[in-house]
Amino acid sequence: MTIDALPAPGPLLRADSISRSYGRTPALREASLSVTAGEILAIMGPSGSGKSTLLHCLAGIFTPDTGQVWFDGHRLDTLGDAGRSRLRRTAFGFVFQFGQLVPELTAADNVALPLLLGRTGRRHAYQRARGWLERLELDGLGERRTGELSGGQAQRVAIARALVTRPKVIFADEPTGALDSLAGEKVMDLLVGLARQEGVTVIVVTHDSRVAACADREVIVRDGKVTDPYADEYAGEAVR
Amino acid sequence: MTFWLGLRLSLRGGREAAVRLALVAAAVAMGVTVLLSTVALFNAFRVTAERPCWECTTGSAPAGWALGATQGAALWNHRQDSYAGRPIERLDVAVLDPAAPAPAVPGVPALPAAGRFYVSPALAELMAAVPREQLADRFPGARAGLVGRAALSGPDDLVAVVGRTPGELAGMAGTVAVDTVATFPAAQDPAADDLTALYEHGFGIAAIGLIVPLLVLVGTATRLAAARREARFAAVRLAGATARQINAIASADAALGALLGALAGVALFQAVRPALAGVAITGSRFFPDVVTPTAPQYAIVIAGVPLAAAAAAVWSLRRVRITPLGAARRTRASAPGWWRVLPLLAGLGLFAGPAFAGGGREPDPLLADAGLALIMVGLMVAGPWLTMLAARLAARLTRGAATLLAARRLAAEPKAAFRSVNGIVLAVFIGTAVAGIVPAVVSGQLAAGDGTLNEVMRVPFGYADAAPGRPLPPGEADELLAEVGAHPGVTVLPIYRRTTTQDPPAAPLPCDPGPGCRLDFMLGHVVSCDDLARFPALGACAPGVRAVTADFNRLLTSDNLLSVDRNLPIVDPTSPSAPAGTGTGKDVGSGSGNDADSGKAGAAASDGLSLAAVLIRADDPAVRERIRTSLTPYVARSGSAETPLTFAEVARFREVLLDQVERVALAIVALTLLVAGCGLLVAVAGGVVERRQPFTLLRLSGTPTRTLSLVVVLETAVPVLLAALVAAAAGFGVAGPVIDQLAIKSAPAALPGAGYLLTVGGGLLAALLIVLAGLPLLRRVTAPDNARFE
Ligand SMILES: Nc1ncnc2c1ncn2[C@@H]1O[C@H](COP(=O)(O)OP(=O)(O)OP(=O)(O)O)[C@@H](O)[C@H]1O
Ligand SMILES: [Mg+2]
Repeated sequence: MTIDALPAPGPLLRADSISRSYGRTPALREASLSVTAGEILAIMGPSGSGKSTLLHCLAGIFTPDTGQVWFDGHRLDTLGDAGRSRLRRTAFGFVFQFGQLVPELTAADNVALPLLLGRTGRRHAYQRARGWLERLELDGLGERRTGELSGGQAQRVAIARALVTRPKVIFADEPTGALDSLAGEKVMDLLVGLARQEGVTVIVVTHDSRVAACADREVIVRDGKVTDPYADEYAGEAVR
Repeated sequence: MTFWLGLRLSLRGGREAAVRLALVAAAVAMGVTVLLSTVALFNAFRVTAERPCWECTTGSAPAGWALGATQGAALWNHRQDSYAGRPIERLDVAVLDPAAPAPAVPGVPALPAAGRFYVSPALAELMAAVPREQLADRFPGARAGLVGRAALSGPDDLVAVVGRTPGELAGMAGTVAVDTVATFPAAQDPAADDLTALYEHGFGIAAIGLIVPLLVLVGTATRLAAARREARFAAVRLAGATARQINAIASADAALGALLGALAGVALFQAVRPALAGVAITGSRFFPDVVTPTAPQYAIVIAGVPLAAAAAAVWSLRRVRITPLGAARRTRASAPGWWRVLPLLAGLGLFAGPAFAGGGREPDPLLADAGLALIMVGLMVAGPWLTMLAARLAARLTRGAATLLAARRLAAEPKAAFRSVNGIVLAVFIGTAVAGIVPAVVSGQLAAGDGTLNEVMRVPFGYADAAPGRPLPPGEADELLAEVGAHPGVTVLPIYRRTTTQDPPAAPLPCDPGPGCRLDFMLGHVVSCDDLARFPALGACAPGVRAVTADFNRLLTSDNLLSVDRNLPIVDPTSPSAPAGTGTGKDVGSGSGNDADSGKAGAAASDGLSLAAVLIRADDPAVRERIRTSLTPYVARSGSAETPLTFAEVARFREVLLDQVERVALAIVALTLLVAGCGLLVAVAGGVVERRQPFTLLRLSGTPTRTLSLVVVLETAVPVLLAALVAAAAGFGVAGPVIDQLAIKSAPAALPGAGYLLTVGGGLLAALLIVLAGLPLLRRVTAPDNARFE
């Protein structure tokens, strides 16, 4: 067993006392968190507490200053840019409050994007994209530019794109933050429902307790620290 | 696949992407047109310079004229003639043995037999247009045909190939026996002047002057709406693209625009080409079909421009780090420091100081070039600092929202503001320097001898031992003076060769020869004081002296009237009177046309003095050309290499050259300003689109569009005007030492001509007007109903 490998079954994604600061502002202080496969986890906490930073570290967008991030038995924080790009393309999906779609491209283009960036053929990529648009009740909107869609529609396109690669984890940061409650509810229903169907792990940062209610478990971030009952159980040991 | 994605992004990216693509393509098309035009002209120049230089033919020395002894050869006498300041290449040939193969001149089917001649089409036209005795009589015989273009540099060349008998040619000095006609290009002629080098230098400077604004233009266009594009790239990164894939996407986009632009540019160039061929960039037109890029050059442009654009796109992304969450500038721009003016000051100092130290001495070309380069680089380096300075000053001095907003932005981002102005700076600098120097030199030339020499024709025969040709022996001299004197309204100064001259002293000369320092060994000429009195600009003898020795060499040979002028007066009261046996005490002749004077001239001639040269003043141009025609046989017999020219014509040759330089420079300036104006427009449009959000907010909160427009105009106009001012000052700073160095003592202070004001002033105005064209975009982009933020 090499030092970089974690035997399954264990947590799919694990943060081991990670710290991260922006210049002199500490955003995360020795935060630890474990996520099991198929779990839907809500991360809550006051504004500015470090939720987004934690999410970005878990997704390999940021590297923590100290601490380790493990995904599927491999160190994530030491992975190079190309490797992390590949993970984003194949194993992760993202649904942010906004900004994750290219507004000039059509909904179908946006959904097919990760497949196109991989080696998937164009026809196959668009076929799959259309399939997912249908499952997100967006039939007929495939040729619309995402810049011209409503907020709820755009979020559903984002979910379709997050799911099109059959990822292991979907990272969602305030996915309903810009939506009214009705549209937000629909987006969450679709996200959670499809994730459960596909067995995808979802980590969702939210302020909204109704969103959190969809989750299997919730953790609270305060001042860059995570309160998570499971974290202690895993801390320091490799095998459950 | 990623490349395809990039294309899809630029082609299907909506209106903004389409506008961007169109702007990039238009900018590149302009650039490519200008580039192809420059290349085409350069090609034409090269092709023309590389035509076989039959004029460079040399022959064996005319040893004894054993006619027929040199089998198959021809006698050859090539010299320059002129008509109204236009040079005529004249070749007199005689075929020695009509049965043997004679050497061939390109463009002429065979050397003309005696009594037949070939002329170039332009000369044929001119001959038909002016009275016979002014031109056509110079070519004896009948026209056999036209000189073909193989012998010509352009459609305006005046060339004559005249068939003579061997006997006639043997009588002309300077005739040589020729076996083969030279076919090497003129540039390889050991006797070639530096004109070719001058033009190649000029094309080089033009290329640099043009490339900078073109790069700025294309660069600005590709940077358009960079922030928004980078946000898109971040989104694509989030979806899993590697940094390399982002580069591919960005370069696909840039390459597409550049390719469209290159193709449009090639098409545009085809439309411009006929006009281009009509431009007499070197003073005479090129044959239209040589004014063209070669196929490989086309290929390089069409393939190279998109590749370069792709590379530039990748390069510009180096400065930003595109993360999945957004783009971050790698470096915060620091405020430009005062050290930025140092190179400019150093260049100006170098130019004003060491490069031209020592009045009258030739400038040190290396130092002068280094100074110029420093100034040009210095202008671009100093620009941002000066912009910042001006902006801060403006912010302090003015109130009003628009000025304040504009000044803030300029002060915060002087580098970005100045970037699109670089081309203008170079253009204004080059234009001002050239336009400052040329008129001063031109007016200085015509002011030589206070302008009294302008209508005087100088006709040198053998004016010195080292000079080609021989002085006219006394008999011929009489004949000539009588013939010239017979024309009405003519004043003549015969200049005789002194028979006894001294050897130069071995020791260093006691003084620098010139006015005030006349060393006897240099005084190779004798003139009569009475004759001299009719040409007061040349000086005057001491009272009572009848003839003096003097040195007329500079006056007779210099093609630079400024140096002629510096050498005046040639005779002054200290000039030694001609010693006995060289005409002293005799009336050397006045040639004012009456018999008595001719008799006196004869008296001098009988004294053994032969005629070195004559100066002839004839105010009537028709008389002048008639005299020139009647001089032709004398000049031919003497074998002089110099043609009879008035001083105004001598000045004119140089003026034509200088005017060409100025014209070319101003043409480049105009072109550069046009390109720079387009760059400015693109930059303005880009700046507006980039700041769509704050501008829209300002407008929503009640700021009138007029104020916003004013902000945009000010932001652009301030750096432009500032840059133009500094560049013009630097241009005059360069022109000053050059004019001083030329030491034009009688030159009136000449201001840059209308051409300069029109090109530089008009160009600047046009550039600013182009900017106004960007304002409707501002209105549109910031329309409140557009206020949807992502
Ligand atoms: N780019 C940044 N530069 C500097 N400081 C930052 C940056 N991003 C976040 N911070 C700081 O880091 C801390 C954590 O930020 P983070 O975005 O993770 O909080 P958050 O819990 O997601 O807040 P919110 O609920 O408002 O989204 C905050 O104090 C924030 O001010
Ligand atoms: Mg957040």
